[in-house]
Amino acid sequence: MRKLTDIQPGTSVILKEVLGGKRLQTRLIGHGLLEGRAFLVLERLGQGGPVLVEIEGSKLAIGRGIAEKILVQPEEGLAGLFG
Amino acid sequence: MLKAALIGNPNAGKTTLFNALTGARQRVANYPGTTVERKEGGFQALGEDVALIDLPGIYDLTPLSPDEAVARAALIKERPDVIVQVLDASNLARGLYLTLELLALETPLVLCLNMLDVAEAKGAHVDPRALSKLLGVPVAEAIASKGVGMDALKRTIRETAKEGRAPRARVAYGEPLDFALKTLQSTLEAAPSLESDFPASYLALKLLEGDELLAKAIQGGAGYAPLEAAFQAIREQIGQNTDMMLKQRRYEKASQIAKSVTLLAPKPAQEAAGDKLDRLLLNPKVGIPAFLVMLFSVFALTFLLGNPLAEGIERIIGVLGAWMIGVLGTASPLLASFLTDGVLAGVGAVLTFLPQIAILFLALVAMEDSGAMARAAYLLEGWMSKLGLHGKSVIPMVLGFGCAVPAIMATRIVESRKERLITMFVMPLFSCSARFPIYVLIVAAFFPKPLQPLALFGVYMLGVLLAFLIAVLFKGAFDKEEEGFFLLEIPPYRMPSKKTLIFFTWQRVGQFLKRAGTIIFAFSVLMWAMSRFPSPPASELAAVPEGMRPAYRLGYSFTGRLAKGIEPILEPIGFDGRIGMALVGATLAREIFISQLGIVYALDAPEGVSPSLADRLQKDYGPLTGVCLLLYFLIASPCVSASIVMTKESGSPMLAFLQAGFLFALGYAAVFVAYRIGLMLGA
Ligand SMILES: Nc1nc2c(ncn2[C@@H]2O[C@H](COP(=O)(O)OP(=O)(O)O)[C@@H](O)[C@H]2O)c(=O)[nH]1
Ligand SMILES: [Mg+2]
Repeated sequence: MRKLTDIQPGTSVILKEVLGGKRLQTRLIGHGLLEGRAFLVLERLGQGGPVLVEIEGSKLAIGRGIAEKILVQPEEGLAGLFG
Repeated sequence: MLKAALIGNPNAGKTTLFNALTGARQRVANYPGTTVERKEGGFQALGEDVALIDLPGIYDLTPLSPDEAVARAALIKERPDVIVQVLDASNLARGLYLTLELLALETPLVLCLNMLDVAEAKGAHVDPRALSKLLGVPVAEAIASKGVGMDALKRTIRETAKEGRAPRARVAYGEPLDFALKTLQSTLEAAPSLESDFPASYLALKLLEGDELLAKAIQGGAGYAPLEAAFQAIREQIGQNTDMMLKQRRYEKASQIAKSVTLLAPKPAQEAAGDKLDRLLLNPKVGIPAFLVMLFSVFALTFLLGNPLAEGIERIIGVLGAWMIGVLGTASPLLASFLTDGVLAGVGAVLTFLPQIAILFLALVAMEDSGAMARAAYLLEGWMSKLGLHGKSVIPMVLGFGCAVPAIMATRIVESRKERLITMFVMPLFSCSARFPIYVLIVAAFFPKPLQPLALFGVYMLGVLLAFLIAVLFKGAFDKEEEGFFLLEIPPYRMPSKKTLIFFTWQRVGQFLKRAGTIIFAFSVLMWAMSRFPSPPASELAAVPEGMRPAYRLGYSFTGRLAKGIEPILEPIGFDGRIGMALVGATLAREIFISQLGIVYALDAPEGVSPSLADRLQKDYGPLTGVCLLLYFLIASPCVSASIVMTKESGSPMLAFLQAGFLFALGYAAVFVAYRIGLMLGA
C-alpha cells in the first residue's frame, strides 16, 4: 500500500484505506472514493499542490493534506497504460 | 400554496432549472458553489401556485460548510411538500447517493434527470422509466439550459406535492445494519417526544451514522435512556464502525442503480476535446501562465476595444453639452450650468467608461461559465494553502474583481472558518469593478499608450500580491482549528451560451447604469451646487482678469473652501485639495471620484470648452500623482457595502472595522512612501 501522493500520474489505483477522521471519510464517500474502488491518477502538482484523479468519468482535485491520508494500491497490469 | 425545494449536487444545474421554471434570473456558473444562499421563486402548474426554493448544492445531508448547512436546514426545518432533486445524468451515482438518503426523509420526492445532452454526448443513455420503477418515485427528464422538459416537470412536481405520498422504497443495508436500524427505529417510535422534527426512520439512520448535530438535539430528552441502551447494545454487537459502513453501502447501492439504468455506448477511441485541453492546462507550467495571459488579455481588450468606444461616448456628451449651452446659455445660464457642468460632467464622466466596464463584465461572466474558475483553484491550491488560504478561496477572489459583496458571500464555500475569515479580510485588495474606471482614467492620463494595459494589469497584480502577503502575516492572528480540506470537483468545460453571456453581462451593466442614475446622479447635483455656490460678489469678480474668473469662482465656493481646509492632511501624500475632495466623495461610491473631478473641471473651464478628463489631469498633475492615486484606490479606499456584508458574514463588526482601519492606514502609508521616494527620484 502506498500513499496517493506517491503514485505516478497515469496510474490506475485501488483505494485501500483512508486514515483521516469521519468527516473526511464521509466526504470522500460522497465523491465515490470508497474502499475497494478503482480510480485513475491524472496529475500530481508540486509545491504541496493537489492530486487530480478521475473517478466515474469526472475529475476531482484532492488537496495534498488529504491525499497523504489516502492509501492505495496500483492496479496490476494497468499501470502505465494511460501514461 | 404548494411548497417545493430544489436540491442536488453542486453544479447539477439546480439554479438553471430554477430560472427556467420560475423565470427568475439567478446567477448560474460552471463551478461548484455558485449558489450560497436560498433563493425563492414560484410557478404555476395546472392552475395551482407552487413556491420553489433554490438551495446550495450538497453531496449528502451531513453539512460540512456553511452553504451546505443552509440546504439541510431548509429541508428539515421548512418541510416542503415536495423535494425536487436535480440529478446530473452524466454523473448519476453521485446524485443517487443523495437520493437514497432523501428517501428516508419520508417527504414526497421528484427526480429531475438533468444534463441529458451532456450524458448523451458522453455516450450514456439513462432510462428514466427504469429508474422510476426501481426507486418508486416519479422521474422527469430535462435539459435545463435549453429549457427542455419544463412543462412536464412542472406537472409532475404539482401532482406529487398534491398526492403527498412519501416514497416507500428503502435502502437494504444488509444485516446486521438493517436489524440495528429497525431496533433504533422502534425505540424511537416508543418515545414520540424524541422524533419531533423527523420521521423515526430518518432519525435512526442518521443516529447510526453518527450525526452529531442530531444526536445533540435529542440528547437528554424524555425517552433518551432506552435509546442510549439500544445504541450500546448495537455497538457491542456490530462494532463502532456502523457510520462508515452505512455510507459505503449506500454509495455502493447508488452506484449499482446507476449502472443498471444506464446504457453505455462503447467508449470512443478518441480522447474528448475537453480532456485534451485539460492535459495541457491542468499542468501548472502551462495553466498558470495561461490564466495570467487570459487576465491580461481582458485588460488589453478593455483598452483596445473599449477606449475608442468610450471616446465616442465622450464626443456625444460633448455635442450634447454644446447644444444645451446653445439653447439655454443666454436664457438661463444657471440651468445651463446645472445641466452641463453638473449632470453631464458628473454622470457623463462615469458613463464614459461604460464600454470598458461592459467588456470587463463580459469577460468575468465568460470565465465563470466556462469552467476556468475551478481549474484556477486547482492550479493555485498548493500556493494558497502555504499562505494560510484555502484553494477554493481562488473562486471568491476572482469574483472580487466584479464586486466585493457577492465575493465575500461566496467565501461560504470555504469549509474552514479560519481560512474563510482570512479570505474575507483580504478581499478589498481584489479590485472591484467600481475601481476599474478610476484605474482606466488614471492609467490613460499618465501612462504612455503602449504601456497602458500592462500598467492596469500591474495594479491588479500588486493588489493580489499584497493580499497574499497580508494573509501570511495574519495567518497566526486567527484562532487555530481543524484545517479545512480541499476537495473540488472539476466540471467539464462548457461553451458559455450566447444567451447566458448577454444576459448576465447586461444584468451587471444594468446595475452600473442604475448606480449612475441614482447615487452618482444625486451626488453630482449636490457637488455641482457645492462647487457653484456661494458666488463671489460681482464687484469682487470684476477685479479678476477674465481668464482667471472660473478658477476664482471655484475657489470662492463651498468646495473650494473645503478643499483648502483639508489640504494640510493631504500634503504629505502629495494630493491637493481638488483631489482630496474627490477622495472624500469616493467614500460614498468610488465612481464619485470621477464625477467630482468632472464637475470641478467643467466649472473651471472657460465656457463651452471641455477637453477630456484624462487630458486635464495630465496637464495639472505628474505621473507621481497618478501612481499615488492608483495606490490609494488599490489599498485604502473603503467601501461601506463591503464592510456591511463583512460584518454579516463574519459575525464580527470588530473584524470589519479592523479591516477598514488597517487597509486605510496601510494605503496611506504606501502612498506616503511612494510619494517621498518619487520626490527623491525627482519625479
Ligand atoms: N449542457 C448543459 N448544461 C447545463 C444544463 N443545466 C445546467 N447547465 C450548466 O451547468 C452549469 C451549472 O449550472 P447551475 O445551475 O449553476 O448549477 P447548480 O450549482 O446546481 O445551481 C452552468 O454552466 C449551466 O449553464 C443542461 O441541461 N445541459
Ligand atoms: Mg446554484
